[in-house]
Amino acid sequence: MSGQNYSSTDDESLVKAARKGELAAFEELVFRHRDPIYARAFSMTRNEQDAVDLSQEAWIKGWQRLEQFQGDSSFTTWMTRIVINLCLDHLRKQKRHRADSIEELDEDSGGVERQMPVVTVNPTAGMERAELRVKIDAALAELSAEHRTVLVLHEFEDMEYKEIAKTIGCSIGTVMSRLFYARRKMAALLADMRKET
Amino acid sequence: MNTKFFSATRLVCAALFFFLLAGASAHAADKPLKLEAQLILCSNDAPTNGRPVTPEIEKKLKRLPLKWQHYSVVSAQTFSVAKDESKPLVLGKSELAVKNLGGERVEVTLVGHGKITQSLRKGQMLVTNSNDDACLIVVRQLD
Amino acid sequence: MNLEQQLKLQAFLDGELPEREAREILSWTQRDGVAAALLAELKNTRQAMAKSEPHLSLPEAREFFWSKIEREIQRREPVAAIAPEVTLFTALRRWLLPAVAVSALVIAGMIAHFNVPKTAGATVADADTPTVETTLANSDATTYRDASEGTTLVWFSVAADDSSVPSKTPAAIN
Repeated sequence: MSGQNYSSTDDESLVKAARKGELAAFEELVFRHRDPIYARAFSMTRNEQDAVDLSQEAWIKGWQRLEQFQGDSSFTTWMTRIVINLCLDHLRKQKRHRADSIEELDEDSGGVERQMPVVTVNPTAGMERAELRVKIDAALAELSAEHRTVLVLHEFEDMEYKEIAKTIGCSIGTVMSRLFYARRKMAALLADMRKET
Repeated sequence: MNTKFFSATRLVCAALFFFLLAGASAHAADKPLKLEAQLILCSNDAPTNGRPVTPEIEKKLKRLPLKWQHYSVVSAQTFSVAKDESKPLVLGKSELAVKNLGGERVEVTLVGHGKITQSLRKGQMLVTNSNDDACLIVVRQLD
Repeated sequence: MNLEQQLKLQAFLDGELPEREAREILSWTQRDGVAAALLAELKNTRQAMAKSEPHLSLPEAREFFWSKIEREIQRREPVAAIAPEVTLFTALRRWLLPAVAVSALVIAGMIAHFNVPKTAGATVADADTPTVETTLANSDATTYRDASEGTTLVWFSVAADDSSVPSKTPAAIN
């Protein structure tokens, strides 16, 4: 590892150097992008330790697969895809369904949505962005892993239905149902939070 | 010189070890199994009475995709089953039969539901339905 | 409004509909107050989430996080072996050692095999994976295995048309 200081080097050059085996260049990439990668892992798993472990594993895989990074997207986007896939594998292994397991069974038949009245008042109107972030975070924690995953991929990763279906390994219909349920549940949760304040 | 001799000795010792291990394993496979079956009551409310399950069992149950948070023991039976023998049990409204298939494998028949065949080494646990509401049956090998 | 219509509304909001269908949905929401209200709710939620992703920081110090990554990268990378001086004895021993070890294992396995008779029906390659047979023709079993804790859950369920047994289990269905 050379003693070169990479702090002012752009990402593209860092990737090139890292491909040649420069671990210090890769370290700089990790330093720059560790927070968004961790944040994505946490938003999907809702467990701090799991998110740390998964983001660590994502970086290791990123190092191993540097040759595959073509520059079609930003380095962060590329790394985010790696951590998303790791999180999906992790969630599949876990398959923890608690009290919302019955709701999930109902959701596919459209049962739950009948029980959720339309939220007519915008529950986030007038809210400061910082407060909204806190409320969104709290509401995301209330969703099941399956619903949260689809919502995160659609809303935060701007993925289309088809891409989400391919990433998760399910049908587009399932993506649409889960996204619909997740959004309705979020609306209800945000409305409840507004009532409490 | 000595290196060559020592290597040959090590090889012979390793081979002997494998033979002994194989023999010991074969012998252990035929011993009777000492098992425990528990009928466990499940709920999401903190238990007010009843004996809670051991921390070890609680930890294993909480990792399963079940919606309950609290588990307490309704009844437990400890029994020994020799190889190729079957032990009938009644736990609450459930009737079971546990058969020792040898090699630390068991066949658990839950009457009216079905039959489960799998290994049950020390530290492993089998969890299945009970005919009692909000109850599970847990079978494990005891030390 | 059925679920299919609701999902069409959502797809319209997300720009996932072909132009013709999108125009039909737009027209529908202009005529139907319930559809319009649901669309507004979905839109509010989407807008709330846009650019409201919680800002999170990795809860570990940079050096500590990197040290774990670095260690693991180095551990997983193939290590170049230093070729020893090869003599005839070394070459023979290199061949002989694994051959004898494998032979000893095979012999031990054969002894264990003949000493422990197979049980009829025990055909699973992985002894920890359960085999399940159900008694009733219309029943099913869901199996979940937690390999790290050595716990197996087998949940027997019965089809909904059998009124004598509850059809929904409290366990998660895959």
